[in-house]
Amino acid sequence: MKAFHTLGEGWKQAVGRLRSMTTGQVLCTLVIIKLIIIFVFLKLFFFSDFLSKVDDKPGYVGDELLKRSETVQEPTRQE
Amino acid sequence: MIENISTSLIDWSRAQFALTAIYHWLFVPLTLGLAVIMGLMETLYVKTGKAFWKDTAQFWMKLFGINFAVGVATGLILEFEFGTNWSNYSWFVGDIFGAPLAIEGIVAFFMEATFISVMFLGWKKVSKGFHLASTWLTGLGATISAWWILVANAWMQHPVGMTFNPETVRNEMESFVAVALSPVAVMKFLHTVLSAWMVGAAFVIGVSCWYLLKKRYRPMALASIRVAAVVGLFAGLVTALTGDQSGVQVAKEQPMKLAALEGLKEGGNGVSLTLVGELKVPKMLSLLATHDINGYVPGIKELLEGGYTLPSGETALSAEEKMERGRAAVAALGAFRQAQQANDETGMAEARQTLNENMPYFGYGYISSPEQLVPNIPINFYAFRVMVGLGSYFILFFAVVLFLSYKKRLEEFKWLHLIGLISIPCAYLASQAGWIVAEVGRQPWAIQDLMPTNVAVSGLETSSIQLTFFLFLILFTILLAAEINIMLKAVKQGPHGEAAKE
Repeated sequence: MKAFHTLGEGWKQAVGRLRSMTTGQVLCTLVIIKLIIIFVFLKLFFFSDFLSKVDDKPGYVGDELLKRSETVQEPTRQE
Repeated sequence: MIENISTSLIDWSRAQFALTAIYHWLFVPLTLGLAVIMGLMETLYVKTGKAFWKDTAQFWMKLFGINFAVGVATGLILEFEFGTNWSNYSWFVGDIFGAPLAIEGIVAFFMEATFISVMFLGWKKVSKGFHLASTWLTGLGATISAWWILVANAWMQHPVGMTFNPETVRNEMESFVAVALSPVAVMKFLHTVLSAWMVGAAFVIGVSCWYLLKKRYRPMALASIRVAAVVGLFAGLVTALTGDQSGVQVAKEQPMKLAALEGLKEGGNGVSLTLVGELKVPKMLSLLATHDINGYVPGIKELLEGGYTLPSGETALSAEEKMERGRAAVAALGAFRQAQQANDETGMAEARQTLNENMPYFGYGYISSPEQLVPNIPINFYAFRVMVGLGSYFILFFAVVLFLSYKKRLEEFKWLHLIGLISIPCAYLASQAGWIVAEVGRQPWAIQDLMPTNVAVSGLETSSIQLTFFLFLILFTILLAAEINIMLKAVKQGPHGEAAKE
């Protein structure tokens, strides 16, 4: 309960602080939070470069291109 | 790593990209459109010396700033997605696709970022002329950004200026000019950017109409409407002209997209254009697609069966023939790699030759049945009608508003003010419908004829894409809510100084 109360107080303070800001200050805060979310949170945890850990990138993509063609069903030809 | 690429992985990856692009495109057109309108207003201030125009320009700049701040960097997420969700695609085209995106990031974005700070903070610090130049350069920076992004997109619709290197498994750029100045890119740029000006104009007119309804800031609202209507009408007419040219290009380069847009199952000469249901305009589709009322337009049946004569005089291949040549190209890539491992120079040369001969059909090697080549018809059909219908409506709307503005009778028509307000979401709807036509219409291709989406996608787990899809949905919805909230507050506050006089 105490934790919820502290969180609630924190939220109220944050909202109060935002309300007392000018439009420019709100926008700057928004831009900073957004860039942190995009570059720190999303990029680091969810969007690592898929091929970054692959040494032989042409080899890997070449294999993928061949492997994907193998899963294609040969069309059934009518006699 | 998964062995087989499931449909759900492709669908979720596409859905995530579509979600990100749609949200990003909510911010971009207003940036491009407002930049021109506020640039014109500041030019009027510099020319006339009237503080009214300075205050009016500053008011719209404030709304521009809100939109810019909320929207900035949302497009970067699309680039993250290329590297993570579409890694095969990124590698396959990285040499070409990377160049326009890098130029966009380095030149245009920094230009935009530099001059936007002068625009907002430099009113009392730099001369009138320098400030005006900064305002226009901010808009120019955003427009150059759009140019390079649209060059990259146009290349995916109509790949030119490259050659495929089987050693690097990459398409390598042969001609930068061919990529950057491809006719498809030029037309796409003009059509997209000018349609964004229409969104900006509709926004300014809509907000000004709200002031007229509320009987607030009358002079500023009327003056803003006049400037916006001029921009909107000009942009609307150019958008219609470039749309016509784009139609001819689509008919030539992406005929299946055109057939899907029209729901044209069987083509022929002198084909009619369906407006809605059974309402058709005789010979109109032929005229739009070929600029000849009796021109030949292939339907889905002809495109799949082939055998008709192409404008070049050659006979069109059937889907089956293209698929066979595609399989030959993919097999040649495999043969090349085997020969390369065995240091067999002759084998490599033979495989390279077969690959080069069949490379234009490479992507067809991954198509298992001709039906897969047909994009979703209902989505394309209705999105196209929403885009064209609303686009035509806006030309009429801007013309009426401009006429009444010059007759000084704009204040008399309350219903028009209401229509102006309702027109804001309609402008966004038309703009988004345009992108749906462009992107859904080219399915199943990530790159036209070269790479379908089921090959472009990375071998990730579907659940990880689903997780990030919902993360984006939450993030973007918060950003959109923040934008609307801050924007509404700024509109309610209204302008200051001379522009605030009732």
